[in-house]
Amino acid sequence: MTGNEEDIVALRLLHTADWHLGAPFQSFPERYRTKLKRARLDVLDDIFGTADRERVDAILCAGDLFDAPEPGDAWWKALLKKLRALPWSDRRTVFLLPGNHDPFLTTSVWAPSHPFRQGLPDFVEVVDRPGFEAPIGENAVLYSSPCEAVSSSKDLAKALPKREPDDNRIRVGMVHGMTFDFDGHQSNYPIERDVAADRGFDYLALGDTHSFGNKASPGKPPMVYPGTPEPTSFRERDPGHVALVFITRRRRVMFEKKPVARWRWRTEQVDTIEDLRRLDQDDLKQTVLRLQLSGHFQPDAFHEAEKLLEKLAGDELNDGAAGGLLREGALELDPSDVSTFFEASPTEIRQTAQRLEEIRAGGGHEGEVAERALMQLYRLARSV
Amino acid sequence: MRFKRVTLTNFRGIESATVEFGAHLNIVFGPNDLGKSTLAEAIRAALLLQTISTEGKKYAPWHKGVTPAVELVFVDDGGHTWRVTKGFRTDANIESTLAHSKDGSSFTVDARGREVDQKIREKLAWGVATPGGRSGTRGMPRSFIVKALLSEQTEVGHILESSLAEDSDDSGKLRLKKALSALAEDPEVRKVLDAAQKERDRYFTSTGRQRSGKSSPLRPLQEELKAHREEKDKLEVEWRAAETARKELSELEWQLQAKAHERDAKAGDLEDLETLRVATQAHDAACKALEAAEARLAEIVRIEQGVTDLRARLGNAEEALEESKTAATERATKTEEARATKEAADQGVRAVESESGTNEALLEKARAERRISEIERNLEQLQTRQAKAAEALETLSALRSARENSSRVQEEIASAVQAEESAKAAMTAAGGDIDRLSSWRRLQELAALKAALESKQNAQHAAQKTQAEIDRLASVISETSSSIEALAAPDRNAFKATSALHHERELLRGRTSAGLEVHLDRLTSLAIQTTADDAQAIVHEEATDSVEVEADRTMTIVLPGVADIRVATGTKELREQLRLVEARWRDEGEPLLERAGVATIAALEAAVEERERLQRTLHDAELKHRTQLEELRRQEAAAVGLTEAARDLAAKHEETSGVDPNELVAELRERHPGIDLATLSEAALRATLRTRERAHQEHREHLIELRAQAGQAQKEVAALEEQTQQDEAAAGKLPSEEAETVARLIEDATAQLQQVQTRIAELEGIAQKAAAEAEQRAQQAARHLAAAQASEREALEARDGALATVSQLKGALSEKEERLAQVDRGAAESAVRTARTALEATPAPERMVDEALVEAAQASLDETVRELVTLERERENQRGALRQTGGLVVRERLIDAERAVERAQEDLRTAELDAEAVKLLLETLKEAQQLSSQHVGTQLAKPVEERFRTLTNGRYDRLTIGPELSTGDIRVAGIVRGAADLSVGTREQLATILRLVIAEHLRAPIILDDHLAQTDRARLGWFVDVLKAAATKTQVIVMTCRHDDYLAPPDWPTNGHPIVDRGGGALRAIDLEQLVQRWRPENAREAATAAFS
Repeated sequence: MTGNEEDIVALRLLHTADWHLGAPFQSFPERYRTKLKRARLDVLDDIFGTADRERVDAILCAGDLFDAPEPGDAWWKALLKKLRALPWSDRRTVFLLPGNHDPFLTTSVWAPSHPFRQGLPDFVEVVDRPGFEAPIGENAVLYSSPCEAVSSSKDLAKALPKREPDDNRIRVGMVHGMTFDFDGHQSNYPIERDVAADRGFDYLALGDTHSFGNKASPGKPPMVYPGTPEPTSFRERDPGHVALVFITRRRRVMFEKKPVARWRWRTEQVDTIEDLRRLDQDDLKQTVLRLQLSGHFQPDAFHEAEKLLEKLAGDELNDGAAGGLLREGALELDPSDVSTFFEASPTEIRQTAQRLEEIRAGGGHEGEVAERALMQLYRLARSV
Repeated sequence: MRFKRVTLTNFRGIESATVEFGAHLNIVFGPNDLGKSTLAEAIRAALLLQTISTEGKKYAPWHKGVTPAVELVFVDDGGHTWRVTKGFRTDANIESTLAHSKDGSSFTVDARGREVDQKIREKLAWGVATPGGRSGTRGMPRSFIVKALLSEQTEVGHILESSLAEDSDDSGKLRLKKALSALAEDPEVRKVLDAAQKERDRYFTSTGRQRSGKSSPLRPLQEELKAHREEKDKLEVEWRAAETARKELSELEWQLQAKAHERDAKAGDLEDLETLRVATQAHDAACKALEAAEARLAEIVRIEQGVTDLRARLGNAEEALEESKTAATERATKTEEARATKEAADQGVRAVESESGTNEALLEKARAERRISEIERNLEQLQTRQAKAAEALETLSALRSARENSSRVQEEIASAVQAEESAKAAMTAAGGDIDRLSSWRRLQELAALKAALESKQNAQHAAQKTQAEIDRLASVISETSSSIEALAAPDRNAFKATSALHHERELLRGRTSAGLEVHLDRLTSLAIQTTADDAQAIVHEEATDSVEVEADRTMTIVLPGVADIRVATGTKELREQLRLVEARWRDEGEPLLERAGVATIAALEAAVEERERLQRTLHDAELKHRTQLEELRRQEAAAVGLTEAARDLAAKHEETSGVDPNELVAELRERHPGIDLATLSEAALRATLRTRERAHQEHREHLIELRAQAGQAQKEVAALEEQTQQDEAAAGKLPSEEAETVARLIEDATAQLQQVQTRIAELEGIAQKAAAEAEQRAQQAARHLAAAQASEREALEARDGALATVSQLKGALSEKEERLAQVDRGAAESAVRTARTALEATPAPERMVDEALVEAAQASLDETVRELVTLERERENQRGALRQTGGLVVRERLIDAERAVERAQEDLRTAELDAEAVKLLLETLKEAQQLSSQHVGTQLAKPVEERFRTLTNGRYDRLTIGPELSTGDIRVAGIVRGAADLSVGTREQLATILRLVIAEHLRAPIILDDHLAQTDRARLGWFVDVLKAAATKTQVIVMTCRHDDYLAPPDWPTNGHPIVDRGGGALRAIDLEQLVQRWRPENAREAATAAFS
């Protein structure tokens, strides 16, 4: 075999993890929750589409595919439907790994008697035993072990078999756990640094951390977290990808970060009306927006800000400009100019505003109530 | 509301009449004395007068025996048709009814008798109290609305002198205020009110209770919060369980370590004991072994002696044998030499065949091959060096990457530290803001407390003054009440009724006062008694003189035992009427005069006026008293808590001591430029603080992660640096130089290898030639070998004879030697030495240890191991528990749940604040509206003034109408004048306009009974237009004797057609003359006959 022949890609993999199907998104108002939950399912179409385009030999799904070991029927049924619709037959294999969120339990979806397992097409394999071994592609083998509890101090990667001296196959490992480990932090399913090199793996597919990253030391076989394909919180850095992995016959490994997320999560501080106007210019249909509101607004600006926020948020019947919106803090009306606003109003409204302003100035709870009443009067007067 | 039909029967001068009204403008016309006012009176009576009222009697026609009755059909604001029927006669059981109809034709009775008036008054809400109450009036009730809508012909201007304050109940006031408030109300205010009301109704029930059911907007938020809290509580329990499991696991780990140490110590002790036990056993064994070895050695010495003897004999035999052997050996030597020669030749052939060359060539080849081996080894070493150099280069490259990575992480850390410090500073500043705001609020509270204390002190002073005024007014009230009581005068209505009765009595007396004179001559002595009219009876003692008696109407002469003669003037009917009136006067009038202590009706009227004056005084005093009492209560309420306020102020002083207000305000202004400090909300600041805290927490977490990465990166750099140093030390030079050197050396070695391989090929050619020569030498050597072998066989046969002898001796010796060999003296001696050495090597141990001691130690160790196993099992259990509880997954979910609870709490609090706020907003709006509506008079004045100004070509303007709708001043040609100062005609016009406006806003019918009689034709023309316009909104009924003032000739009804409708019902002309059946003399006579038969 010549050098050129050895540089031929022998194995193509798509590596993904942390789908968290059925995650509740409790911090969000009800009408966004469904949208965000569905997004987690929708992104699977992009993942499977990418696998098709890249003609991968296998898809490695490295755990936490469901948010809980027993997700609602809707979620496993939806995944099952998508998998069954794939026309892959024996062209490529999909490996599903139970993670710490959805460990392999007798009552979980991974149990052999569960309708999810029973309904899976032939090209889907569930890693349902420690020391799982399966051939993938040309002269390549996958080793993996599932999480069997939500929490453990077991290093699943370290327990995988070591490369034998005469074993020249491409060896790929897949486990779910944490490489992040330092004092004061509890590790769940810890993974030792450079365990891939120690065990003789050419590539170690990991799941758990929601951000994309290679955790191996320089020059060592890659240990990659693809991150979650759709973001799940504002704290995540660089989520929304899968990893495309190419391994040559001489076992040279290349991997690529491939974006698949349909949604973007942004945090914006809003102190002035200008901040909101800028946001109004953006296309936020596929953005989950966290607005940290503060500052006092003059009546006109306040009115405009409320309108812009309403536009962003939408209501029960209409979608807003933003795909999702989480408000922290609140807009505050600067009442110093409110009396000017009511100058042209009828006497009764003017007197009402004046009285409310007096109560507001008294402070305390009553003052707070009066301030809101003043805001309501302002809104009503603007709307009629 | 509108009147549909009125039917009169035996009502005053009308025997019967039915008038159907149009919905808009009705011109009812007829000549004087036809009964137009009677018609209006009948409508008033139907709606307002109780059937039992004595006032109803005036409706009876002068013909006796008939009951005046009226039936009125009207449509209310809701479109329902009502029919009221009343008969007016106190001494008969005439039933009144109120019935309703849905279709306008068939009626269902709703109420009867007294209940009829109650229902009608409630329905009208015209300010007339329901009958029977304390404030109920007798006779035809008058109220502001009644005067406005159904004013009598002679009362045209009364509306200008009236106000709502005079009404007997508040219903009219409320209704008018409501109608006029709607007039006064700005549409924008209404919209805001409606919207606020709608919003308020979302949160509260009509009774003001906060909604708690499914309809409450707070309900979903409360349920959501509850659900989040339950989820959070559940997760907290799970998290605590996980934490407990983790801690217990940690504790077990420590216990396990301790137990393992204990086990190791015991295992060490056991090992020591085992060693001692083994040493003890070894010492005993060494002693026994030495004894056995020494005995064995003595036996061997004896066997050796026998062997020595046999060996001497064998020596002799062997000498003979040696001689024969020498001969055989010589022959064998020759054979061997021949064999060696042949062997050498064969070897030469094999050598040539195998080594293909001469010795030199072979040597050279061997050297060359060794050289190749050396070069190959050298090459291997070089390749190893090359690999190491490559690895060192890779390490160096990795080191550079790691250093870059470390630098990048350090830069990120620096940036993150800065961001974390900024976030922390922002958080601290936000926390400080809350404290500053709190201090500022306390200062504000201090100022408020000072103001409150001053206000309370002022209120206390004012209350003292007010109390004095109240005492004075109480005295006035008491005195005035006493005066009123002492006066015992009836009220105005009672006086009017009494006055009417008096008038009727006087009238009847007048009508029956014909004058009587009787001259009685007593022919015999006879006592008689005479009574003239109402005078006391006069007794005339027995005598025979004449007696003259004069009287106006009646006279009674009693002739005891003879006759009682009663003489009366007038007709029987008049007398009967007079009798009844007199009876009533006695029952009603006289007691009244008596109670009032007056003799005449004029004096009674004076008393009534005095009573009214006193009542006004009393009313004013009571009003002021009430006002002052309210004021006092307000002042007292304002002064309540004076001591506490002073105490609070002192406490607040103490609380705020040390706070520099100027500095505080300056700090707050600096922190929140351009914002009114009063608007700063603690909730908002707290929200900001929470936001800042979250931001700070995120920065901190990011920093921790970066520091962990930095630590790892530094470790990598250190490891790679160490590796690089090792590589450099091993190579003695830089990896790049080493790589170049090794490459050069490999190139050299490869060239050398090629040279040596060429040389080996040359040597192999030389070797083939040498092989042929060696083959010839081998064949010659084979022939010499065959000859030498034959000579050797002969010598061997001689040697075999001598050998047999030696063999026998050797057999014997062998037997002995065999025994000796079996015993092995050396071994025996060695065994003795070994045993001694062993004994020396295994001295008696310091402590003799037996098996029992070792077994006890083993048992102790086993126990520790069992305990260790138990602990390990417990640890596995705890690990299992930790696996079940979820560890970090639960923590992640708990954090999410806590955030969800926080958000739900905030949402609910906001919604609750909104609920309170909308309630406050609505109340405040209503208060403002209430204040505004107290001046609806101003609003009413507007349209009245506008029309009046138009009517008078701008001569009159600026009409004032008070809060109770009392008419005030009006400006005439720039001069302000009272309404009373206007001319009769102008007053009549102003009153009519005012009444029309009220009717329009009440949507109630108005009757104008010749109320524009004093109006000139020009203004009347204008009025007709105004009436038509007003009639589009409400029903207007004009009674007039001059129909041509209102109707054009084409609109006049003709004979046989008493009603003409024009303009699609906008105008109805009613010729009353054709509809009214007045009493005719013959009818009257028939009725009278019927009544007295």
